[in-house]
Amino acid sequence: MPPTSTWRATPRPDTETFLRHVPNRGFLVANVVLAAVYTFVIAFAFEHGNWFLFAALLATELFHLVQIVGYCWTVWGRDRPRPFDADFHAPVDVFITVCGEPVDIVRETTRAALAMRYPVPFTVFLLNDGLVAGKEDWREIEVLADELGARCLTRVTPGGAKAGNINHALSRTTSPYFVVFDADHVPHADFLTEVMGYFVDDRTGFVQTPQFYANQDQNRVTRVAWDQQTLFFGPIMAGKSRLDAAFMCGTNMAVRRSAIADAGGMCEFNIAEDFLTSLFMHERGWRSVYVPKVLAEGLAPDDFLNYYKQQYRWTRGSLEVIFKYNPLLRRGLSTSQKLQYLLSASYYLSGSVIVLDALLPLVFLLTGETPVVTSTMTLALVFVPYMWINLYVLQRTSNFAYSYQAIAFSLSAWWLQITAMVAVLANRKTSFAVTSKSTHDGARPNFLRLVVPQLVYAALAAVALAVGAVREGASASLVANVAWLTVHLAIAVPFVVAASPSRAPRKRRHVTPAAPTAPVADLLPPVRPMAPGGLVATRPVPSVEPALQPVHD
Amino acid sequence: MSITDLLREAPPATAPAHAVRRGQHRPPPRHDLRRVVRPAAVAAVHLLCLGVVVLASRASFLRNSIRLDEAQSLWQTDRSYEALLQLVARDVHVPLYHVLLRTWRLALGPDVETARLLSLVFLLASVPVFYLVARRSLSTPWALFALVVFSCSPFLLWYGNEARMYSMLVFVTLVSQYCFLRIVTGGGNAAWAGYAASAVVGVYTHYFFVLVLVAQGLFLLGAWRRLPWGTFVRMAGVAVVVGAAFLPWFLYFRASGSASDTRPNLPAPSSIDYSNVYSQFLFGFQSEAINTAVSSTWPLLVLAALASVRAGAKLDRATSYLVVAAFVPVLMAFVVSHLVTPFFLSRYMIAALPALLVLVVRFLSSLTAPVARSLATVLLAVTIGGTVVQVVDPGTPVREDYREAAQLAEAQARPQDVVVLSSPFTVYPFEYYYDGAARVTTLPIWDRSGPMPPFDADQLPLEVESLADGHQYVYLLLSYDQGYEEDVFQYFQRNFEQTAAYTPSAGMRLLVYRVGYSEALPAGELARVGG
Repeated sequence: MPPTSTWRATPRPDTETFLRHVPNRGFLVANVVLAAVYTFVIAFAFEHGNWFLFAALLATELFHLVQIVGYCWTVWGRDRPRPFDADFHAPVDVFITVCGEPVDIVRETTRAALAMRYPVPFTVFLLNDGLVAGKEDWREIEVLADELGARCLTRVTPGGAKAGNINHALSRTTSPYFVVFDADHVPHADFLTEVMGYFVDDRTGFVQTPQFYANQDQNRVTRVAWDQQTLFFGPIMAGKSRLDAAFMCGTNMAVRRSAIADAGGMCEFNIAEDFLTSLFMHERGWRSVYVPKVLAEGLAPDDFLNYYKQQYRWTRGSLEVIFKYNPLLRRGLSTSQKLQYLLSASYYLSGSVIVLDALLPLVFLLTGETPVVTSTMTLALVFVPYMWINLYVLQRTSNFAYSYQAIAFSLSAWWLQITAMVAVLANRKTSFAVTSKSTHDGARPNFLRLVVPQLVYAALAAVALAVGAVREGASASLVANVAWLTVHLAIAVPFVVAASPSRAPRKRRHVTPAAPTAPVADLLPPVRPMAPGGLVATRPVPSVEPALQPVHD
Repeated sequence: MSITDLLREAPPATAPAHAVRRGQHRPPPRHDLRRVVRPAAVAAVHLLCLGVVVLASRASFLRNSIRLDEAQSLWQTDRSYEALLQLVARDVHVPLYHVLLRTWRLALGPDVETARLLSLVFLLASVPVFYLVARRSLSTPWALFALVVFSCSPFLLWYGNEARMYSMLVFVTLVSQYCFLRIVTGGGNAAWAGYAASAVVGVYTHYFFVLVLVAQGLFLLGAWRRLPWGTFVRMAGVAVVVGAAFLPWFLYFRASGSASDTRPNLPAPSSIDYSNVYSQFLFGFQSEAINTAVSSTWPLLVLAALASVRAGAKLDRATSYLVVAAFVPVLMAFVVSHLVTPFFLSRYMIAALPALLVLVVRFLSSLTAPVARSLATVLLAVTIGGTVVQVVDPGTPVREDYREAAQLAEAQARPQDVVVLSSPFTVYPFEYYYDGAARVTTLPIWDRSGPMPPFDADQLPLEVESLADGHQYVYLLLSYDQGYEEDVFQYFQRNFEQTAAYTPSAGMRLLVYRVGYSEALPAGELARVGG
């Protein structure tokens, strides 16, 4: 069928720009200096207002400062060259984890895995968890394996989720190395030849490659999810690799069997199993390598609920690491590794920080109380340059791949992060009352229940504005705090819009698959947890600044 | 073609000329049409902008009362060229503008309106140069929009109609920036020649032009990895040329006392002064209430910074330079004002204004089309609104209505009264209009021949007594606070009966005090009345 007038070729998503990070140390130093100056000024130069608010503000500023220093340290340099032998061709098993994904998607991934170039014969295993997860189509995966010439390992005993699935496969396979792909991550033909050579170093425990979302242009959520990935798989993972602290991200990775056995197998008792397993492997002296090349292409969460669930999982898993496996207390880790694990996990504490910052203008409008007493312009003079350089550093280090929407989503996830923290502290399981609904007509489903806290904040802001206006009149303080409220509300807008329903477009355009190897977007099921992404941004006084160390599952 | 129609994306001037790959077909008809329409649209918008500037100037700005600084310009350029150079060398300025202004006045007329026309000419000349600079960073439609904003700018219109050197400084800065941008993007000998010439003219236009050069130097240093070595060698050559060209004036200036007696008494700038610079650049001179409200919205800059984080939104070299040009000079002036000596006035930093406008428009152009157009409309409305409010609001802080003050004194003061001006140098703008019967003197008392006397609180009673002696009423004009205005005011309040008070403009007070109760004329005035 020839292209119609509405047809427009979608440019192939960029698989390289976000990986070309060239650190500019001048800006990094300036960022740290300005952040330190700002924190110092807040702490010591201004007259204190309400002591409780001041303490809260200072705590948030210190959190930001630590995150910024940590980020600049992480991205300070590029990864060093690693031993690589292109002729290293050890036997390897290929695991594709499946848990109810549509067969067409699994077929695409399996075909691509079977087509990978490698001098030594290898076996592709479909690790089928459909049966234990109660998925109706679990048998179809077995049929598919037979059809394509792969082997299917269907679990019959539940437990351990994805980690348990992999451990189950390890108990039934023998190759000294294995690679893992999620069902919706399609490997390139050169995946094995680009990755396996790093195992020539006997100390290499695992090799991780980026997660790339081929459906990134599908909608707002996929775009944001991808934008967040660019920062993590661009400068952050490269920096972590330099510090021997790159961790596994659940898919697109190759692992040495003896290393994971040494770590006790994939960790089954944490929702961020790959993160914690990496920690255990590093603790035992194994090294990790991050290869900054897109060698597999996957799918981003395609609706707001899936994105929300993905973020929640990462948050909960990371916070569990902090509270139950505090990296600072792990003996086998180097100092750099301890700090890097802590930085990654602690990023998810930013929800509490963000909400504290967001509450400051509300508190002022409702009560007149402020954390510090100073001229609003003096505050601007120290804060605006700090904020601007902070964002510019973020842009530069991501090689200008990051976006406002990504920051807005990160900042708006405060409720999600707080509920995850409460769940971890209370050791409580969480379930989502909302279910993902496919509308099949291009419309956006209604997930407004997930953004009720943001809507409540908006309502509170309106009330506070009225109270503040009556008390203050059009004072400079009132105007400044209303401006802050505007900033907070504007940041929440993309998040709320993504959660709100929309009508189907009047005339649907022909959708072209974004990438040749990508599965058909319309067939997307709820996507399994893929990799992370995530930046961060949190705000000081009431401000917004990147805090920066996301974690993956 | 409306402005909104113009706000469609088009590649900036620095974009590759041919984005079309080899072998791809081009659709020629539309392109041909654009080649005809675009230059016509550019010319039309230029004419529109020139018309706006002329119209606004004729309608309002040219008719304003003379201001203190203007009076000084006129007073200085009334002298011979030689005397003028001596005066300027003892002042805090460089001489080129004054030499031009004297020549201009000799040729066209001595009044202040004629003097202001010279500034207007420089502002008009800046219009096309601003467009050329804007095009280095913006697409044609957005550069034209920036040009419209530039032409409606309340700050530029104000100084484009003041008999001072600031619009000339803007013009020279723009020429320098255009040549510099061509240099850093591979410009040839013409760009270098233009750059060197504008640098020499610039340092003879205003001392603060040096900040423009320093900002350019810092930008070069920051980009040293990406620029050919020859650029730095040539830049060093330009620096030598500028230094050599400026040396004679520097020596003359030093020999004349380095303006040690005439430096303005300015306070060290505060954070509010710093923000006011940018507030005034964008919104003009507004009353305290408006300015406070506008400045307090600074958290929205955070939102703007966040919104500018866009995938692929990499700063090109021209825009990077404009960031430096918009912020570094003001920051340097602020720091030096704290570390060395205060000299922080927004008009001194006017060279940063064009770059700031381009950056604001550049930011807007990076947003999604509907948002960009909406905000562009808001920006234009705010700019025009700022200009209108600046004109009509009696609270506009920089308005100095010496004409009104002089007319009031002229109408009411009699020969047995005396007009007292504080600070002393306000005598120049006042006397430009004043032709009354009462004698005019200053406080502190100044004979106008030597340096201005410093204020001495202990001497104040004696000085007041001597000037009030034998007079009936003192018309005290307080219009330029040099740190002692309140002392003078309080002294009169405590010792004399105030009979009337007028406020010709914001910050200017004409106060009438009864100081004598005899109707007999003082001896010194009898001859004049009789004559």
